Amino acid sequence: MAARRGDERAWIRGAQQGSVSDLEALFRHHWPKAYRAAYLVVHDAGAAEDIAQESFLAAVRGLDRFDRRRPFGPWLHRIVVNRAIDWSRARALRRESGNAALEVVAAPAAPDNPHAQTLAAALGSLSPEHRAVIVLRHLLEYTPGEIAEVLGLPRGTVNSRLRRGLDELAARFGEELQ
Amino acid sequence: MTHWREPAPGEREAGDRSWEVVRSAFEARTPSPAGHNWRPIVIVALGVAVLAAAFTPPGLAVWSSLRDAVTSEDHLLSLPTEGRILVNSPSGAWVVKRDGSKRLLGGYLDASWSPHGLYLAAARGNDLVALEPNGSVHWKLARARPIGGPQWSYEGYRIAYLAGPALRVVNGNSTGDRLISPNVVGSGLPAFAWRPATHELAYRDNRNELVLLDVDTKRVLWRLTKTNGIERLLWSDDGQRLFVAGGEPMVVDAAGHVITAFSPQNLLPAAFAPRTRALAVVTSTNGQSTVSIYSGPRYKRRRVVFSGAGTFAGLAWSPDQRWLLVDWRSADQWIFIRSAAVRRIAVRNIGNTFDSGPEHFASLAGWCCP
Repeated sequence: MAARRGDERAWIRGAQQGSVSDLEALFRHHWPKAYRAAYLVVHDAGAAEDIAQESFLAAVRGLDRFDRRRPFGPWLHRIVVNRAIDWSRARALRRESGNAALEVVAAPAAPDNPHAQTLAAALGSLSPEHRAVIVLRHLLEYTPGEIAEVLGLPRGTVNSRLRRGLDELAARFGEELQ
Repeated sequence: MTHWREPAPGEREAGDRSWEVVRSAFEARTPSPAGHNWRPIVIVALGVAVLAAAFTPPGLAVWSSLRDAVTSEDHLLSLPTEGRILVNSPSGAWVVKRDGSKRLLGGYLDASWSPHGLYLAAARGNDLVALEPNGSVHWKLARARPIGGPQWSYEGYRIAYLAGPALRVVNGNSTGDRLISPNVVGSGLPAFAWRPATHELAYRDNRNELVLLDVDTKRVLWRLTKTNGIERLLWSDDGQRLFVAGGEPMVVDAAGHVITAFSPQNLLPAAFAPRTRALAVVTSTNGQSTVSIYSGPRYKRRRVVFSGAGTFAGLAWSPDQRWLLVDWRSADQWIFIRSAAVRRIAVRNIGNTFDSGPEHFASLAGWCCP
């Protein structure tokens, strides 16, 4: 999973010049965290796939304009996390109108990782905004300052959401997050 | 904190699926490499020439043609998941692949998939034709009357079809053609459907009764007489539920017992979700159409999936059950609705995509196996 910054720049340059293999390297490197971040915010495998996939599609559309000197991850994660928050808010609003209809008949995702499901379930008790800052901090390992930039929030708000979110999680999830 | 490092459910499979989508999008946008790029100069020169010519009478005519060409653009660039979609249009049957490529099998009508998508059965005048999706014809069977609506049995060993008003069955290798009923049209539309995993055929006879017949033994397994205006029959994949669409729509079990009767209304188009008994149907009220999914033991649970103005002319589930395709005819669009995320993809200009134009419509005939 570890890739040097130089690898990423080379992949981006190659993709900007039309190389499918470089785009695939970039995709394979960033997919796990993008999907995981979306999953932990929305707690729905189908939605996480859509959100991560659409974020990559947005990245592909904007690839020509991307500045290679900047890291790709924060750019992608900003899209993923903001879409995941939007999706969670929309689902909360639509819950009564039955828009989750097809879930009834959709094939359930295989429970290939009970820990991730437990974690996602614990995160599910928080608001989407609190989930997002915790995912950005602990999964994607951004500093509070970087999270503030990604989400367009004051740093103090990020810190307070982190503190409150972790307190709530600790109450539900024991000492796992300490 | 080790849990943050572990994969989320479905992560790898979702990555493989998504990579295919991202790659397709990337390839669609990548410009062809060129040695010396004259393109901008050529475009500017063409633009000047077009502007100069556009305001003359011949120029206006050309402009009109260009506009027509632009509006007939094909927007169906790929399918959101595995499988191939079959479309029947006035010009023939179209097979749409995952990558958006389309093959026209010209002149074939009423095409339908064989169980695993290896073959199609279609009508060509008075011929029943079995062919491969690439157009290679395996056999033809000529009848005295026009052929219609061929359907394969579950394993491909039988094909039921109409020859004029008669319902007939032929073996999958074109042998053993026999009459099932001389007239299943009567006063309404023909309706028949194979029960999965059997050679039992449900059909509406000319007295508007619903019959389940074992076509190999010619034994009538049951008959329902209290029916009204049956228009279409659909079996669930397990062969345990039969949706009877028509004046008084209902769901019956494999023994012909009524599971539920809906209030009299038009519940078409409709489609059982693959490998389940949940049923997607379209209802229309005051010019508004709605796709709903009925589920539960007696189909009492209804959830609305999508609504829009005008007519929804077709429904098709993706083979992996993750997408429901709605043919929104009034909007000339296909809407792909994703299950869990309620994600929608709208593809416009469907009429022209399948050369059917705004007056003659292309109809969905199934979303089959990868």
